[in-house]
Amino acid sequence: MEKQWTTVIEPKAPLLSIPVREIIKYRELIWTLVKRNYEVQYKQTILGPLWLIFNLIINSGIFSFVFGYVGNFATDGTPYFLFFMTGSVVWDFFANCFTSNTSVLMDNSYLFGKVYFPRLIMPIANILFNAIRNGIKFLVTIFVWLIFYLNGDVAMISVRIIGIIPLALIAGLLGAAMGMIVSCLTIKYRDFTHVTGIAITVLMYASPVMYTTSQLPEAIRNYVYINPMSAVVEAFRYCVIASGQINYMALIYSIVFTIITGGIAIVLFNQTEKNYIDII
Amino acid sequence: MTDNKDLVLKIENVGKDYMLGAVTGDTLKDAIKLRMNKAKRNEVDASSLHNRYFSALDDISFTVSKGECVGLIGSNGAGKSTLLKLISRITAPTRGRICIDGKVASMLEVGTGFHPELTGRENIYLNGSILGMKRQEIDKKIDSIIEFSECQDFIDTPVKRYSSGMYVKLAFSVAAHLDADIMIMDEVLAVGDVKFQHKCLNKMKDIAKNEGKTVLYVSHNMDTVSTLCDRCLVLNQGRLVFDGPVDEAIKIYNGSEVKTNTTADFAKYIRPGWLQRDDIRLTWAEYVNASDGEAVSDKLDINFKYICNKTVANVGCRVELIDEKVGRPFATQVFYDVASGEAKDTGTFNITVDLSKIMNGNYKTFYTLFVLSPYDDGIDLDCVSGLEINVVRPHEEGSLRWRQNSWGNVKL
Repeated sequence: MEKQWTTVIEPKAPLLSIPVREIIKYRELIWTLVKRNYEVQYKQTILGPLWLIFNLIINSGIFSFVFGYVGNFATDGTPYFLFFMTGSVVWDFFANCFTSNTSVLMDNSYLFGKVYFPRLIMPIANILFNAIRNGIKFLVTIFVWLIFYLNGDVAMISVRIIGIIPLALIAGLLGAAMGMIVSCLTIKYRDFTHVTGIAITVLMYASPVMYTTSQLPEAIRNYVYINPMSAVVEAFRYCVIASGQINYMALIYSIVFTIITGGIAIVLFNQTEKNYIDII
Repeated sequence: MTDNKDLVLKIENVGKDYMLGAVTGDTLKDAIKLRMNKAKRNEVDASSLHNRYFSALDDISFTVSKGECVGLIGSNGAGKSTLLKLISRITAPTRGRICIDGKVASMLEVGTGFHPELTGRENIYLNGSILGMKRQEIDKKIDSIIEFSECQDFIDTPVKRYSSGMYVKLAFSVAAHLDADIMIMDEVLAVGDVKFQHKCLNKMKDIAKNEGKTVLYVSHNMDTVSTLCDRCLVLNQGRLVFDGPVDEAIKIYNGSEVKTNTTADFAKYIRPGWLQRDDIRLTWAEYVNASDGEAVSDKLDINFKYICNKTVANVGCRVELIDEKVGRPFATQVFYDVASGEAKDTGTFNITVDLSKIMNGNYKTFYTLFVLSPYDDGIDLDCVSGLEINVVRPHEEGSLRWRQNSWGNVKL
């Protein structure tokens, strides 16, 4: 009779598997890592997470001045400050998930080289940490909305707001998946560390975070939707402040894109994590 | 044979290769270049690529049953750490299969994941959960962890302000409180000052002996291995050369089981890790005259047998004499051009060691085979721990009685 082993280690790693049971077993570690990230970020600061709010407000202020006041960008009637803030919350969530995961293997090599836990824990903890940070930002956005609402500038929030949950999920997963792919490639080719910063900037300007798609010339309007985040940002904004519309075709494209990227990321990650420690 | 049910660890034909040099190149450009080269000359590359692999472990198979305490010894570079890394799932094997039943906790390094900004207490939780402890478990053990670390007063201070000693003490304490079915322990973990090191070793003994866990113990200290372990594995250059009782394993490791007073068989002797070459190997050494290993005259004849693995010529031999108390060679005699041959050739040579200036005493020796480089440096081809030389000349009346401790071993 063959014995039941709890773990069998073999040279070949499975292509597309997520060790769900193991991750659940290590769920406390996820939480500990999230807490560590939070504590480390705000150790020895007086204001702590308030910095997050200041950054958001100052950022939105600058962009409102440049694009809303000086540039006079059209926003379908929404105050530019709120317009930008709403879009930037979901965009930042995507961007943070992306950048924090681009170095997930390199930064944690000291850990991965010494002790075993399911490596997927790290990207998951990153997503969760950024979800919390951007959740706080979202609450601030809602507060800003309330001020504008009481002033009579914007409409009431409707049930559509439930839509932000799946949209945020897409943004987070897409960011993390793209980040993990870059992270795997960086192990062998450090070239990719130089790409990420510029890629995020390009993607940001190529998505309707600062403008509405309707004000773009017909010729290039549809090209914006090649960026899978465009439809997500737009839909997110629509769900919160009813600005603009949802481009359903583009949104389906974004979802399919996220699923494919996620699959590639998992395959690549599984293949890389098993012995990247030897290469690094 | 143990019952199949009791097995907790089964290792089957495991091997691990490492690439030597940068095969893929560090940048995209290098990789593309290499690809292009590969496409051009396909058949040449296969062989050159093969040469660039280095087998850190090859064809290792063994099983461990529940409750066993297994020692793992071997010189540096024998593959001990690689094996532990494979078992603790840090990197994957190139060949073979490893089956584990139960939870593995590896104490390969202390302080994994410690974050300098966090306090001692926070780091205990962080480190503990990285090592696989549950929160409740840590809650239960935290008092004992803090007490063991002797850092009570500083536990709520960020560890970046700790002294290095406090840091490692705290780190070891967390690792020592791990609870798993299979514990992997490395003796270098015993850290801190002598007192704390002692405490660490006792704790390790405690885990191994009293808590009835399965333990894989790596050490260079044969004393602790023999007190802790019931069974011992000897690794040499990536291969498992012995699996069995601790005493025998230690003998093989020290190379002493193959020696008598006047003969030594080097066929199975484990060469030191620094030796890069294997062109020629000594297989046998024998004192020709001294029947009981005591040299009474000034001349000592030694007869050697050797086998060539590659074509060699003009191989010389050094006989290095070592006083155990001093620990390093104090006299060396060099013999040139004693051996040569083609691959697979065997041969013998005789040398006569001149002991006329060596005073009475018991000396260890090393036999080293070498060839001269173009710059007259010696390139060592083989090195074995040789037969002991025991010089017992009768005292000559009227000559000074030699005080070895003050004047050394050599009379000029």
